[in-house]
Amino acid sequence: MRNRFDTQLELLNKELIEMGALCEELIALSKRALDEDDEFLEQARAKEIEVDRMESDIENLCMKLLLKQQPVARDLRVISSALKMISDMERIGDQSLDIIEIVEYVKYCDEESRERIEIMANAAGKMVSNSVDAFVRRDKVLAQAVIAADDRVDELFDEMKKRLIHIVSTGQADGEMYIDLLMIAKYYERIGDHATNIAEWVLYSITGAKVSNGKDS
Amino acid sequence: MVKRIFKSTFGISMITLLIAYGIIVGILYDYFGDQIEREMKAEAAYIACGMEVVGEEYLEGFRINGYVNNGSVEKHKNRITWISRNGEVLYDSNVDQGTMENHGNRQEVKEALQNGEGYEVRYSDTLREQTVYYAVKLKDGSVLRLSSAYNTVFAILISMLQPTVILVMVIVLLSYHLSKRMARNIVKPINNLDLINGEMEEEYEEMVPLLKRIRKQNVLIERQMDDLKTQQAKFQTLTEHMREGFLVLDKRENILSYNVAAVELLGAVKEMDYTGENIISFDRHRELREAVKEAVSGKRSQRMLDNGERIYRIVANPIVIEEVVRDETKARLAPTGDQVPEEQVEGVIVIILDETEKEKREQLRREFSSNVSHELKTPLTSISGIAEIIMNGIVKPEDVSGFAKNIYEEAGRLVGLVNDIIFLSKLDEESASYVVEDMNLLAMAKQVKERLQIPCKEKNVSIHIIGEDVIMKGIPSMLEEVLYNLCDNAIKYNKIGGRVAVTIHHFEDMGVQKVSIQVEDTGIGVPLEDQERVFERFYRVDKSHSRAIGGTGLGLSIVKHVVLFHHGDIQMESRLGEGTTIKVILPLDFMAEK
Repeated sequence: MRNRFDTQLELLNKELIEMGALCEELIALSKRALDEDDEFLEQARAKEIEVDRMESDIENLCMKLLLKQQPVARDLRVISSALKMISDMERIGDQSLDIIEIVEYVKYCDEESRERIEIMANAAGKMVSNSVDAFVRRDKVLAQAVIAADDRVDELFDEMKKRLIHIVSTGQADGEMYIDLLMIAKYYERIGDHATNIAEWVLYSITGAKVSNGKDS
Repeated sequence: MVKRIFKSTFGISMITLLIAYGIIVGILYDYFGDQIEREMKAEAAYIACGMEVVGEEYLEGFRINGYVNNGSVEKHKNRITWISRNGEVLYDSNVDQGTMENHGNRQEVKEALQNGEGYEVRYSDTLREQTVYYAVKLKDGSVLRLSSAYNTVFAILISMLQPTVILVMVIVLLSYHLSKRMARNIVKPINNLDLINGEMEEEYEEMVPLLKRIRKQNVLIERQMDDLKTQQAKFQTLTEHMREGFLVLDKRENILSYNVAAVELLGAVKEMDYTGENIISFDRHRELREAVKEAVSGKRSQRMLDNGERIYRIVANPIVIEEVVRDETKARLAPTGDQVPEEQVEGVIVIILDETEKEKREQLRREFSSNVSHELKTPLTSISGIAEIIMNGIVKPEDVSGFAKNIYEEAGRLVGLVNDIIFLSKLDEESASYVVEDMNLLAMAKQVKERLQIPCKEKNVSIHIIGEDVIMKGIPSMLEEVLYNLCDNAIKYNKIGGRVAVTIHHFEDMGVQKVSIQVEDTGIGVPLEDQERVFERFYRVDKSHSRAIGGTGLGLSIVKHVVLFHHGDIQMESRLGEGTTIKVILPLDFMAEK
């Protein structure tokens, strides 16, 4: 019975990493969609559906584990944090897809805005990668680094917002495109928040203490 | 073992206790029965004797307290009844004889009348009491009967219940503890056995063969472990020094073994021990997972993994267990291209090759061919277009020469391009034979300056050649090409009215005589991110392939090749809008250096 439980925990671990990897792929796609001319929407939609499917799979697995095995202590923490992590991952997947859906409208924005968006995309992508890595390695320090990195992404978003307000208010360019740019920046900022949440759940599953910095998700 | 020994000894003592108890009760009971019979016979004999001497009055003495109907008054121990020959009760010590029925057909009385004495045991209704009757025939033919009531065995057992229970409890407790201790004592020497290097004198000689066997096996296991360790160490050393990443997985995709190169290539964490972890913990790139998954399903698979920085080829090969011959497992890799049934797959070997360089070269080659075709096509298209117009007679005869000039110019470009390509391919094939001659670089630079008079005038650029006469060994046609290309670029990418300075300088560097050729211009400069790439074939800072400036995009590529051919070095310094300095350093005698 225990043995079976352990195998299922291993499976849970594996599926979680897989789902994290999918999110990373989606963010990478969103970055490429900004740079390259190819059409990534179909690919991204397929991946997003995969993310949703994995979310419900992992949810079922967690429920089964909770009901049938009645885990305690650390195992319980791992399973309950897995339940929370998958919803954050699912949101990351959604937001990456949202970015890809509107990215074609901002392809011809000015060079600096594009660069800033790229910096944000890289920062948010790095946070997601690191949060998944922290989960894989049960690495407290890395998880804390992810939580700390969120401030940087928030800052980048604020800078971006100010810049866009300036551009639009001085009537330099097409307002619609800059609203889309703002949306994309916001999505990346949200992705950073979700990565922070994941990192917090990783910390919780390791230490048992819930970290909260007051941010909702 | 302790439990079992305890159970059996405890059980045995319990069973013995019960049996012994039963037997003792039985024997005692029999003994008491006999005793009673004998006593009764003796008493009967005394009373009979008394009656014969004293007569009937003798019996009256036994009737102590008159007739007693209830048991509260102590009765005479044995009840005495005198019965006449025809069964009529003449006397009874306990009950009024008048109320008693005829006793003639009682078994013991009958027997006594017949044989002189009779003995009978009758049980009361409750089974708790039994009455023993003994009758004896007197000389006058009447019968004297004694009866005595006893407790039955059952009753005795019940009455003995309390002491028995106490006794049994004491015995049970005692035997429980004793059995436990005994069991422990029996097992103790077995537990204390030193299986690895103990002495052969054992407390139990029955165990000696077993112990011998175990020790033999121990030695064998140790030897095998040593072998395995050596083998593993060998394997480890082999794989550790591989440049390729190497991973061995079981069929559940868990890592059995991996080498440092795998960790380095895929960017896993060195400090972690991944053994036993799923491959996904090691690296979660889709390509790797897919390759492994395919291999687990029995197919040899390959994937290219581009992590943004480097490009890896991942080869995953299923391992098939071929046969198990006498404890030795023969595993083999699945044959290439074959689909192996999934259930035969026992594991997967993953090899990771860094193919970034190869891929880059591949890409350069592709770019080169596409560039060459593009560059060749452009002049050809205009030539063919112009020729078509002339052919169709649209062009007035007086304009033909103008169009012919266009054709001539485009053809000239084509020829120049083809010449450059031929020159480059010759450089690529180092086998091409060139004559190495002594030559004067300064003189050569001056010749180049002459050749470039026309473009200089067009852009109003002045060329200044400074330096000393330096004689070096080299291939003149090649080096002239270098000087020409460098100066040509310096003019082409200069501003109107700019200047170009060519400095030839002879110096000694670590005992090697060298010459530096420095071409400095005041032109538009090269952006920082392009400085690395301008030496690539067909690379242009201005990506529009602009025809305004002309050129093939091969010039600097040729320069670099020639310099490398002469074992030289090339450096570029440039500031956007201010100018570019290209410095070529060549050994005076590259053959000697070689």
